[in-house]
Amino acid sequence: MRHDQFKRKALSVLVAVVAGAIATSASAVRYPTEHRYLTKPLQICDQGIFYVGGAPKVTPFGANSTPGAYTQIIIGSMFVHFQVPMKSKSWPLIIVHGSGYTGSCVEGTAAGSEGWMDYTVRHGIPTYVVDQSGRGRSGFDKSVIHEGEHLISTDPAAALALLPTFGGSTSTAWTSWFGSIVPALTDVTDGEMVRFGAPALQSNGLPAPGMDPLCVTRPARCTFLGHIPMEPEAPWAVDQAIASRMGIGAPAGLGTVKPDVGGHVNPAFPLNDRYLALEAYKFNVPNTESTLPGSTCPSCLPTTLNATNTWTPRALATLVEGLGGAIVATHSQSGQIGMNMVRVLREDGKLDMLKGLIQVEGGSNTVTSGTTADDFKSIPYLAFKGNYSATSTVAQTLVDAIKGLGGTADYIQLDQPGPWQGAYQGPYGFDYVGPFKGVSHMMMIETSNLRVMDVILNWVGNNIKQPEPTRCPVDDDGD
Amino acid sequence: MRRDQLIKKSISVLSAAVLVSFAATALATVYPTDKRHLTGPLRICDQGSFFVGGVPKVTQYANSVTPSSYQELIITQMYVQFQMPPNARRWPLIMVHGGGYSGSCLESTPDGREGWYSRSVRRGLATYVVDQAGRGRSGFDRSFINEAIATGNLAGFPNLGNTSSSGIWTAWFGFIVPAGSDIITGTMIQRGDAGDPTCASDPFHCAHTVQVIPPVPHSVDPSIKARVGAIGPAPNPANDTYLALEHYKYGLPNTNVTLPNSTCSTCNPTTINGADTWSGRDLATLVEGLKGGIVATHSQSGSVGHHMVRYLKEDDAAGKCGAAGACLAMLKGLITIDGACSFANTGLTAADFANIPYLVFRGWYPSPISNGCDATVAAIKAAGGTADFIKLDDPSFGTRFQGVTHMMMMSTKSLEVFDEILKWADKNIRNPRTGDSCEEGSE
Repeated sequence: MRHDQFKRKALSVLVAVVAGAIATSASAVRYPTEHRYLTKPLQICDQGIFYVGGAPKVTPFGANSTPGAYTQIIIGSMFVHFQVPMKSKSWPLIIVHGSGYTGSCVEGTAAGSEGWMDYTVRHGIPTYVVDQSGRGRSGFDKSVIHEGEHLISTDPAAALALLPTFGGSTSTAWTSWFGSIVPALTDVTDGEMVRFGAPALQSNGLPAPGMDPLCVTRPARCTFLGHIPMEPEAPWAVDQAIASRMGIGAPAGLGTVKPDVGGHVNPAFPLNDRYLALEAYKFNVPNTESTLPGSTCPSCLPTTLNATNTWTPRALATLVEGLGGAIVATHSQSGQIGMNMVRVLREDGKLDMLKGLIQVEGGSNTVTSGTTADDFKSIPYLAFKGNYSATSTVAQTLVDAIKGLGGTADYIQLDQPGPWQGAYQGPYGFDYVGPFKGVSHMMMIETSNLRVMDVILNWVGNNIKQPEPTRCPVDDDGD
Repeated sequence: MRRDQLIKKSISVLSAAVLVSFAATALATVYPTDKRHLTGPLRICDQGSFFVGGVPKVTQYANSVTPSSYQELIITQMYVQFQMPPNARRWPLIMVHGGGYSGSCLESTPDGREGWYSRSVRRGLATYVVDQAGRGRSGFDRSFINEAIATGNLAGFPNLGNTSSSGIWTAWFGFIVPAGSDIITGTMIQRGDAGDPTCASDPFHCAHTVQVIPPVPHSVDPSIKARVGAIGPAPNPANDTYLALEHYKYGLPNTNVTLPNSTCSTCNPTTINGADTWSGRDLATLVEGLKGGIVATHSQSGSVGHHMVRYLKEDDAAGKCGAAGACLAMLKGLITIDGACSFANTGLTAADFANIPYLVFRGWYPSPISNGCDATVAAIKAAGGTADFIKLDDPSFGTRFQGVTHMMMMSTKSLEVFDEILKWADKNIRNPRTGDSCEEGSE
């Protein structure tokens, strides 16, 4: 599609968007003027941002798709946001988000409540939250797209080989973590979206729109709902302007868009609209790190590393070293980033600076990251899993191997026995209905996020040797 | 260059990069473990982030360049981060970055000092910093690019901006001489260096910048200066230092160009680009959601701020805020920092600002972006409103701000510059402390 066509098409729908969206948009966001995010005030010794790493690229495609004067761009650097509490009682904690997200997922939740970053700072931990290299505020290599655009008419094959595909979370977040689309092989336009646990316990007493297929095989799952905020129990969790499908009147001008039918994405199941309008989705950004180059790693199998496992691991290792030691917590897709960071630290001869590695829902693969259990002999290691996730063989294997070498390693699964269960006595596994029932993969933006972090912090307290506390120098008030 | 070549090239350089870069990076980044960014501790009553706005798009190109099952993307939403001090003033300050940047440019300077965001909180303002819709943490419409690739038709695809390292250099910090050369064939010089082509015609402004450029410590990444990990041809070695500024790492692509345009019948021209359309709309939503605020824009977001005013007016016309004019009345001040202020482009009139204090603020170097704002300021004054145009090269400032460029929030004079803006706000916008001690739930 030509850009000018794009424009013209867009015009017709946007008038409707702007006029319509106005009416209801206030009900979506929880504004801080109406509702406090933090559980309590915080006093901050230091805060700010910086960037680590990056490499220069000199290209005639830095500005646009017509080759022009050579310009330089810096690619692969990593955005870091930090807060330091008045009394630091811990090594710095570096938190890395997963695929399709940025650091914003730990800086306030989809519920408009305190995030993991606030909470760890409150617990005396200097906290560093990154946007992965090539994503969000870290930027990406736009010249790859410009160059592809330049080649597309003369050498389409070369252009297509050059141009990356941008993935990341979409409404797929729904089927990955929050619910299902039934029957199988349907999508949001021809299937029915149902919540995990439906039709169990909606708080308004009404039957849920459909039945979670897991209820058949795992009936215990049908006694509770997930922890991601949703209507009707949390009215602000859904953007009403999006639920009412404003901004996509047919013919939509946003590329090839499936027009709504009667104002619904699927008229047979109008509640799909609501489940497609969660505030939680707005945290998502494209995985633009796919524009960055990959690299090779002789000790890895396979030896070719993609961009994701090239740049952020390098930048994280630089950050750990620059801070003089830190604990790193990864999530999901950044699990293997964390493993590759361990390899880079080993190559740098700085493995001792990693004071602990916490892998939330992903990681642990030593073969692809060129690591061995031996690397973790002196690094406390935690594999951490929420509900709805099966036991990971690679995680269990690594934890067992580290323990076998005399190291410190644990595999905490929130649906398995452990001190985090409190008075709950079971059952565990598929039939688990204890205090963490309903926790999903995206546990940091859910309503139970702080109780989950408590389990992690408890493990840190028991397993990581911390430095002497330091107090903030209060020689002035900043003016 | 083919992608496979790029990978091949990068492979050969990256092993070198990995080996070498760690040795020298400590000089570039200002780690908080070495030097505190803040000038002193801060008490925070509340903080967090949220998103405003957004529209749904159902597409087969969400994650793939071949059509797959339909998925929904939410596009055009705007990321907002905020901090609120105890006993905050009545009206918050909303700050908007310019083209090629994100809100990060307001959080810390490249040499690791307190940014405008923290400073604003320290001065008692609840402060909201956004990433413009379609940029940074706000995401963008990737399906637009995926679909263009799928159909093999990228002709006319919008470019993602020219804020390259060397582009930032020539836009604000210096020149590449001789004229017509580039970083490979020419030499980068700072403003005021011998050979500054503007010195002959404008000797008054022939001076060094006070940006974060050497010899300021931490201003240069030594591994980038040494071309470690470099991809592509080598520039003139004389340029290596100026091509390695930490400042450039704040730059990011203008992916807001993937968002759809709109029309505005009261504007001239009537076609409104994606940035003005969506960030303007989202800012108006934010001002209304907060039930009042002061908005400060920079550079490219100057027109975004003015379109926000238009949306507030349109919301009034639709009766959104109750009483007539109640939406517009929620805007307690508009501060345009080195940006455009055309009323014609944005469908506004001077009368719209009869009760909204209006400031245009410009660095020491005259900037073509804001030079035309004199007429706007004069028109508001003539209509009985409060409007000022503060230029840092005004003789009344003496040499205090000599050399402050467009990117003033990241300069070595950043906090003094910001204090001038706040001084104007204190004088012209009634904004008392609320007395909220923030004691609910003690620390």
